[in-house]
Amino acid sequence: MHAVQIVENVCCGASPATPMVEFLERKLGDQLTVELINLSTASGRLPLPGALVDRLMAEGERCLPAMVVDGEVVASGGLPNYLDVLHILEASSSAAS
Amino acid sequence: MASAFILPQRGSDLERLRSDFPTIRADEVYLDSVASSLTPMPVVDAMTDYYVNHRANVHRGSYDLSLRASELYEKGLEKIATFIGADPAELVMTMNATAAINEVALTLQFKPGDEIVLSALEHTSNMVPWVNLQQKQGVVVRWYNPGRAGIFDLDEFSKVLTERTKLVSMTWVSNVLGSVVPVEQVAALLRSRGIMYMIDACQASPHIKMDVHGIGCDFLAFSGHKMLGPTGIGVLYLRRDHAESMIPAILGGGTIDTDNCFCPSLDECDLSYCSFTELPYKWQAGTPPVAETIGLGAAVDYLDAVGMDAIAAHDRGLMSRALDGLSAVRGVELFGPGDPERQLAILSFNVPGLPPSEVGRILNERFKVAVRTGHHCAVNYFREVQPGGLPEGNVRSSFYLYNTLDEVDRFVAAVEQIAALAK
Repeated sequence: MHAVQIVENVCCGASPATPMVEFLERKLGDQLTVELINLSTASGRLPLPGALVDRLMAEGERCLPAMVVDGEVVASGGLPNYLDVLHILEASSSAAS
Repeated sequence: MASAFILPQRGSDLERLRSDFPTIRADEVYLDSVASSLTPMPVVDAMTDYYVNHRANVHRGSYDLSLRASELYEKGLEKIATFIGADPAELVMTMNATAAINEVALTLQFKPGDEIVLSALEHTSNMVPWVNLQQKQGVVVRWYNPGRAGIFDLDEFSKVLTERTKLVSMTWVSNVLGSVVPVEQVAALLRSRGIMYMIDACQASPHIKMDVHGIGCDFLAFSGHKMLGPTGIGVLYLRRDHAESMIPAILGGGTIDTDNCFCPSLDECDLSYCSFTELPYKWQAGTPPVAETIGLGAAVDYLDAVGMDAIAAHDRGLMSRALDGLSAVRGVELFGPGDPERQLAILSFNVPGLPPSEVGRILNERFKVAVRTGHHCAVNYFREVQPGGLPEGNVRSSFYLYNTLDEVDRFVAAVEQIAALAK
């Protein structure tokens, strides 16, 4: 079971990452959890991995949106396309096994 | 210069033709010629020759350099006129087709309640200039809807016309669907009803041999950059009687015969004391796009050398292959007539479950296939066929004389892989 986090900073309107979240849940809903974290609206303690926090400190918003798979930052500054996401998840599964 | 190519979809002639287009790369497939075609070297060379050897303003110059520039410009104008079956006196060189349509819209005078008919397939550029006249002149815009496949029905279209209809402005070929309007039939119908006819020929000019006098339209517009020519040039055809009788909305240097202005004083001076220059200069305000006209003239030479019939046959071969290929991909939703005889070089589609923008992105990033996604500036069409909320549009592929069957196969194979994602 993969834990996918999509971290973004969207001030208003619908999140551009929503279609990707819906796609992943539809495609691999039984193999992963997907969490969409919008830094502009989130409050309280955020479950961000240290590597992403480091990038945010160093680069600021330029590293967003970012994708984290099982605690590892796999994309920053832009989300991968759907096909690449599936390959990233596949590679993560292979590495884990 | 291209020599009489017989355009097969494969073979040495096509490879030789492709070598004229330096933008083509073996590992990339360009399927966005609807937005803008690629440019062959003879066009680049013609424009470079002007800039390097003959760079001066045209007309009114009494020195050799200007005379040479004028001669090249006039030759370009003549080639373009011949290409569409017009007289050079009936052409205006504009910035693009959008500017050409706007020039007509700004020039025509309507009465409140007069009706203008558009189709639901129109590009924004052939919609907004007319819709704008609703507020400015009180005209009523009425719409003909050819349906999801975009198949034109003359009987249904004629029902939209009324006694108040003064102008019909429609595309010849849909930039979303590739569906073709029978312009000769439409022109005959409108002529019999005394209605003016403007044709947006942006998607027709790269593929169809045009004959404006044979069609019998009043106005026609197209852009150079979609038919191998440079960006920054459009062409407006005005039938000679309109060109002579109408007063251009855009005036300036070159349009007025300043030697024949007899204003009694500066304070009293107005156009009634002046004469317009002879056609086509009456409509050509300011310095024309000189290099671009020369370049478009070279593009016309290129198209003529290849042959518009050969290009049309090549288009049909590619379209047939693409239609067969994508029709066989499970889950892909096709738009348009679905018949290569009635669908011109444009094939748009969706993969249900995947946003069009994502399909386009994957085609680019993973397969190096260039397509366009979204509404393609035809949002009225998508509002009709994708009701509820903001329509997502579709993915549009388009083919031209430099595309090959192998490229179509690569594209289809890529879509097949992408469609598998949605399962």
